[in-house]
Amino acid sequence: MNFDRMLSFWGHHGIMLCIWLTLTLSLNLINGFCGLFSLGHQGFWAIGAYAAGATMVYLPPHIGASWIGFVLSFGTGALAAAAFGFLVGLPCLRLKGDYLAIATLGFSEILRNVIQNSQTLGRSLGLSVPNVVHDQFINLDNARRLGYYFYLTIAVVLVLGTLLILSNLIRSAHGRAIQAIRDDERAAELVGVNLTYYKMIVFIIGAGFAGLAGALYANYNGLVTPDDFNFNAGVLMVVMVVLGGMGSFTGTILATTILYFLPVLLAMFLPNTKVPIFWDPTQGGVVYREVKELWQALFSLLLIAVVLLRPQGIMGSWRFRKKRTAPVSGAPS
Amino acid sequence: MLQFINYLLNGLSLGCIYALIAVGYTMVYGIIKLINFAHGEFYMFGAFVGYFALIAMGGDANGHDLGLLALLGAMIVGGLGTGMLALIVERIVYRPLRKSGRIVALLAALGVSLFLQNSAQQTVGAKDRTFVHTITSERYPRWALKPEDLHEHQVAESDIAVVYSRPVEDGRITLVENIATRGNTIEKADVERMNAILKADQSGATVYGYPAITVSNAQGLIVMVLIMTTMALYVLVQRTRFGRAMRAVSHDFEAASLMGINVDRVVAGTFFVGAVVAGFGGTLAGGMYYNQIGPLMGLMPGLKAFVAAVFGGIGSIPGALLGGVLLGISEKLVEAYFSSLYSDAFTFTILILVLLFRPSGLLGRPGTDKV
Repeated sequence: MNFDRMLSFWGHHGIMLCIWLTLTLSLNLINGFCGLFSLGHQGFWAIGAYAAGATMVYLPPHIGASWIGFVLSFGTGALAAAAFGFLVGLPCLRLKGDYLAIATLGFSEILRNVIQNSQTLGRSLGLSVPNVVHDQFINLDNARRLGYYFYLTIAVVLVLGTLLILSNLIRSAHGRAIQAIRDDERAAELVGVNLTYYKMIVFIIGAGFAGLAGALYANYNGLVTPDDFNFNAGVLMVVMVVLGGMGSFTGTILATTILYFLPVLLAMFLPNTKVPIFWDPTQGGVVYREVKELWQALFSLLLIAVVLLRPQGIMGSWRFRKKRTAPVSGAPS
Repeated sequence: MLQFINYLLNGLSLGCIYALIAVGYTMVYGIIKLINFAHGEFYMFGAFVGYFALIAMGGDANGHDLGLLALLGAMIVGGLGTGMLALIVERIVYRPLRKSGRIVALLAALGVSLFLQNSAQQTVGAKDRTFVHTITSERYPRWALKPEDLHEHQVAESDIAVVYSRPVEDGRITLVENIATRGNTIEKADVERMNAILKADQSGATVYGYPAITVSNAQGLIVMVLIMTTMALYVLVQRTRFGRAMRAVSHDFEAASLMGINVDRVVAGTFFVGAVVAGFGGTLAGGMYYNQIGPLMGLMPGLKAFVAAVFGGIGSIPGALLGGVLLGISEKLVEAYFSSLYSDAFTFTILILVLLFRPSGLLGRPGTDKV
């Protein structure tokens, strides 16, 4: 493999991995550390991506599609996502467990539906975002190369920044309050943790980082479509967090990296041999599939296996426990 | 007003499909407090089992009329097949997790849902396919018209259509050709088209007039299946030993097991019954409503049926039926009077409003389903 092909391969996957890492790390703050089981992180990601994209597209060209617009787009992406996090958090504070999961999922599906029908955001075809690096250095021969270096640097800085801020947050007094909510909400409230405040903070921060990931995605990819942010994307994030262990950043990084590169490596190394897997008269008898196409089914089996055999995840620092089935008498339910 | 009633009727058949899926959600949730995300995939599985059953009967997307009995047979095969799948899934995945938290079970359900989706994509292929043709959609009530009475330049007093049949390779296929719409002038071309069909087809081609409000046989069938299913479920839950055990387990899991009820069997039975009904829904929706099936067909209807179950009061079977029907109708009304594009957003807005302001739903018992 020559240098340019290697750069475009590893550069692309490196940037995308960093985007996913930012998403899963911020999701782990909400799901893992605060115990608010959200299934709607893809919505925050989408808001960030579309807000950033719209900033680049709809500001006057000399501001929008330039370095100013580029920097601004990260700000608008993060702010818009944080604001949406606030909006989602507001009603969802009253919900718990699976009900919260469903409500957050509902919010992100509403959002996707609205984006799909918005003319300004490009409907289902998506929004094309100007690529600053290519536009500014169009006269340079190695604009493509420079693009990878540039976005990779930003992506790595983004992940490291996210990790630094989130792990400091978790180790602070605020972080202990957040984890106390997860461990026992009622007890946390009794010792003076302001539930509303901390849950809102967690939603806003988590959403804000997802928005940054969205802004990077929009700028790097150059195109955002509503389908990028569908339910399955959200499930994939949750799976990464769960496999890594809810409440463990190390685990999240490991699981995200493994799960991101698994299909990439499988596609590289698995033989192109076809195996018979089904018999269907309408497809002319035996159906053959390439081995590497089967990984997604295997991946879902892996999720089931981990949930069955090791529910605390690879590195989980917190074990799922059965909730009390009978409420404490006299306690508000 | 007439238009409104037609929208209601359209919404009713969609609502019945939602209701058929929602029943299984609500039954499982009522018993083990699990949101079975894989339930939408059970519905998809049922549609494919029904589809292959019809293929085995010699059906084809453009083939001859297989008839109502074939469709009902396929529906039962689809239902039973889905029931078997649910038994296997319950035994392997959900039973070992019954003592774990609800979020763990939810994750497992997500895993099962993904697995069923992905394996369907790998086996039957990712593309949607047209369902097997069983019966042609016809509208009722209708009355026969004499073709001689229809002339050019005459204003049509009702919708007019010719129903005729055409031989295909292995039988006959019924076709409906619209000739004129109420209130419009009948053109020369329309009369010629009608006469050509009547001349070409000697086997009982008939010209029919239709009133403003009609019900198609597909709608009638879907509603009938829902009514029959409801009655069967009522008898099962209220009048049988198994139903009593089910209600006991739903009321208090631990106490029921202490009273000697075989809880495992009751839970498995509940999964089975819910999945059978979802399988009926899948075959019916594939055959009579959407006319298309694909590996991802369960995703949206599954989520919406869950909304319907929450809307009606999760855990309550009459609630799921009512919620499904109401959701289907209101979705169609939103599409008709507001915008056809925002029906998904509408549904999920209902979900969030219900969760916030009346988490026990329309018919649910308040206070029993909090964490």
